[in-house]
Amino acid sequence: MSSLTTALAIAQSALRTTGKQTSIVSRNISEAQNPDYTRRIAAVSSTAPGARSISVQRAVDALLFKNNLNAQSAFQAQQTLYDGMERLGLAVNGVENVSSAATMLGKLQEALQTYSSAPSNRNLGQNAVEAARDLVRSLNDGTNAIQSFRGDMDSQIGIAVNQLNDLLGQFKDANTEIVKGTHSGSDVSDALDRRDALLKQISSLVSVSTFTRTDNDMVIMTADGATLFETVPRSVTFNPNAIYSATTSGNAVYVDGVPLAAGAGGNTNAGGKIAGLLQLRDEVGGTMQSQLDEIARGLITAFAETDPSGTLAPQAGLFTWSGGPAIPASGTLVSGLAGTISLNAAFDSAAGGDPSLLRDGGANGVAYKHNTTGAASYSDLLFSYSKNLDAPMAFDPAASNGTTLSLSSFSTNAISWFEGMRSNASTAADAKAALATQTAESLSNLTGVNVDTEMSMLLDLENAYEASARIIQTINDMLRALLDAVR
Amino acid sequence: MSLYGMMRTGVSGMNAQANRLSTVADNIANSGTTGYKRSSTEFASLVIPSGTGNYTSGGVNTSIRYAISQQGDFKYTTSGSDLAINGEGFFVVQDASGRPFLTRAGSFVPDDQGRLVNAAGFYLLGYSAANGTPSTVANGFGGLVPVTIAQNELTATASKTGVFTANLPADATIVAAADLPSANGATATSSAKSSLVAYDNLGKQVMLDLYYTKTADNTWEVAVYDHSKANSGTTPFPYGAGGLLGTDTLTFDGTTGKLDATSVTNITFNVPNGASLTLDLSKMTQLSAKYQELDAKVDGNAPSGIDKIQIDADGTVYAQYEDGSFKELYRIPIATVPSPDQLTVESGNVFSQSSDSGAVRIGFPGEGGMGSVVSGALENSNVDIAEELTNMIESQRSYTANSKVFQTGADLMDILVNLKR
Repeated sequence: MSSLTTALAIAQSALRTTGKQTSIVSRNISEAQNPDYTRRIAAVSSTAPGARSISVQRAVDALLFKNNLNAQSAFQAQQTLYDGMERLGLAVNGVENVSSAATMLGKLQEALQTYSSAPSNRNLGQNAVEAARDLVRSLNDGTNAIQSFRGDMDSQIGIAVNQLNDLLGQFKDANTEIVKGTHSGSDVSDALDRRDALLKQISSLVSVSTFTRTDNDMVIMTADGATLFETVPRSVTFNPNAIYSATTSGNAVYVDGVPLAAGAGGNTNAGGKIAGLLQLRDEVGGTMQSQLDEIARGLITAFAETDPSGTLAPQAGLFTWSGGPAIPASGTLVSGLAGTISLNAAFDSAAGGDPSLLRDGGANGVAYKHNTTGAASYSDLLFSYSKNLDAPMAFDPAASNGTTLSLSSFSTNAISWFEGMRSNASTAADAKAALATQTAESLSNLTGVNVDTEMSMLLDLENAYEASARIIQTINDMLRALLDAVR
Repeated sequence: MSLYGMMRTGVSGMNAQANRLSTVADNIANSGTTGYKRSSTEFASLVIPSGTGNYTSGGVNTSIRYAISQQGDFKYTTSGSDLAINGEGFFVVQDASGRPFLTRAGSFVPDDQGRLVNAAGFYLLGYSAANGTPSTVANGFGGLVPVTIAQNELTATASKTGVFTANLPADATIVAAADLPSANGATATSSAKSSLVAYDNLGKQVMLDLYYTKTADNTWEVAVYDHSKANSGTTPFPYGAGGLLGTDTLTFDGTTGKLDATSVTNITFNVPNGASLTLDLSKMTQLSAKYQELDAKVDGNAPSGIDKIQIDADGTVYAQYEDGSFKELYRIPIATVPSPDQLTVESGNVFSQSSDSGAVRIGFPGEGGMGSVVSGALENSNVDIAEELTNMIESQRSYTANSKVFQTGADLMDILVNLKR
């Protein structure tokens, strides 16, 4: 049926449509600065003569969004790792490694050499013992620093897990709203924006993959396939340890009963902050601790007192430990040894000991005395200690720092291992940050609001509105002409 | 031939135009009435036999036509229970006494008992879906009940079917028989785990833990556990008594990575306090990629009240519950007759069957030539003001002309009467 009445109805509906489109444009402009807002597009479709319906569509690019999520979670993990390593390196090795075990070991070697060139000088003996004391302190402090760092990481994991559970709870609200709205055909763009923003936050904590079921119902899984959200949030559980010692192994984070994998490597394969924190706590903190433990074990072994006649077993000399005077088993890691290593009181003049035992031997009894004649210039034993430090010895592979090498190389390698990993982490953090920024930018180019486009759209709408209003006016004039004819 | 005849013809013309003006008046008055169908007049000449040389004027017969089959424009509204039919057919409604009528006026709102009633007070009829999918009674109004939506009802549906699709990592390590999840030992390990929400008979959420474990090359065990029976420690194993709901073995084709033709393709188990649930696993794959869930859904819903009512184009009335799920409550049929324009028009924009219209045929929207239901729209009257106004002017002129005929006859009679003085 086409008539003036129909024309009037069409013009009216055109006005309504233009009005709605204008409101969408104005919403777009008002949210132009919101990074989580996705541009709305008014899709107009004709259903019947004189009737047009508007559906609000969101500018989406699912693939790019997914890429952005992955880039964000990789970046978060890398940044967490890098920041943590910076802190840990400073706490354990000091600025420019001045307080590291390797530096202290070098100083001890120097002091030993000086002492061995003038064994009669008691002051030089005292200096060597002081250098040994500094080395012990460095190892003890390093252990404390690592363990308090692990404790820190542990409590941060706890906080992140709580955050994650909270985010998943909010995700449920947004998701339920979307499912209901989608099925009944109402506009759920705001809820979709909210859900996407939540997903971004979730993926900064754990690396996720998602799929969408009917009615836009989203299911979230971790990158390993454990279910995070399906209709209802799954519980993410973590049991934090209040205090860490070298022998404490941290608890895993369970997602729906499946442990979350920690990252590995300097250019970490982890996604999300939690995996990065787990890597810092277990891989980085744990390896660093075992390296210190191996250095401590190497020291006790290198400075062990031997029986000149070779019948008695070697016993702890300048350095001793909780298991002393026995020597720790060769090539086997003793967890926490760096924390319990101490200066043997027999050598420590502050504790009533005698530093010259270093020259003569015999801290463990007369049987272990090498300088039996009491010669003031006896330096063989001091030389043998220096030699021990440079002689290859066996190390536990658990310390990931070589198995057969000298103690001084082992200690410097420990630093290179850490610095190498840190520099990898730093380079990777830059690369991943660039990728994250780039994907975020392309996503924003595609789905964000471009004010210029909106303004030109507004001009079009203005013209369309004026045209429709003109039609109504014309029809009105025509009907008036007809009514004037009725007298 | 006679002046009286001519005068009577003028009167019949005036009557005819008066009829036409009445339809115009009605049309203009109802130009804004939802579902109103324009009436119009058609005239037929009435000829009185006359001999050669003389002419006896007859008259004009009026018959009223209704443009019932002509569809009006749609007016879109914000109410989901405002209905219009796009295409042929009528809603079946009944009045307070239960007499059925047909109408296209679909401005329905629930009354105090939840029945959908339109502006003229007629109740919408539909087939109830309470006893399964409804079917129509093709040639009568039998089986139709008023569509009643009780908003205070709570319902729950137990889960009966589901789909789970995932890729199982082909290079996973083989787990020893003693450590399989189905053995439910403390040392049980699985290659992959997921969980799904299902609903029991009372609509309580039951969390199902799904374990996939490689037992040999291309052979996987699937075990389903009730999460509520899980051990409270770090590992959910061992589950408490009755925790294991079902287990089965999937075998994969080593070349395609898809399920082997001989493999089971679904697993059926009883949801605790619920129905038997069949989980379709037919699209599972075993490729050399990490474990990834690709699709997972289970039907059923938690107890929830009706949030709103939705009516589909095929006439299905759904209740949408607060949790987002849907349930079919009624199906609204559409009735039609062979000659809709000849239906008897009654007050309230309703029509009833007449001897000329033919018998009522009932079908579902969109099927067999019936129109489809548009929710959130109303059908305007099909009156065009401009057309009515022109008709009115035309009638007015015609009426005046007829009155001139009558007046001329009367004047001539006057002359004739005045001949005798």
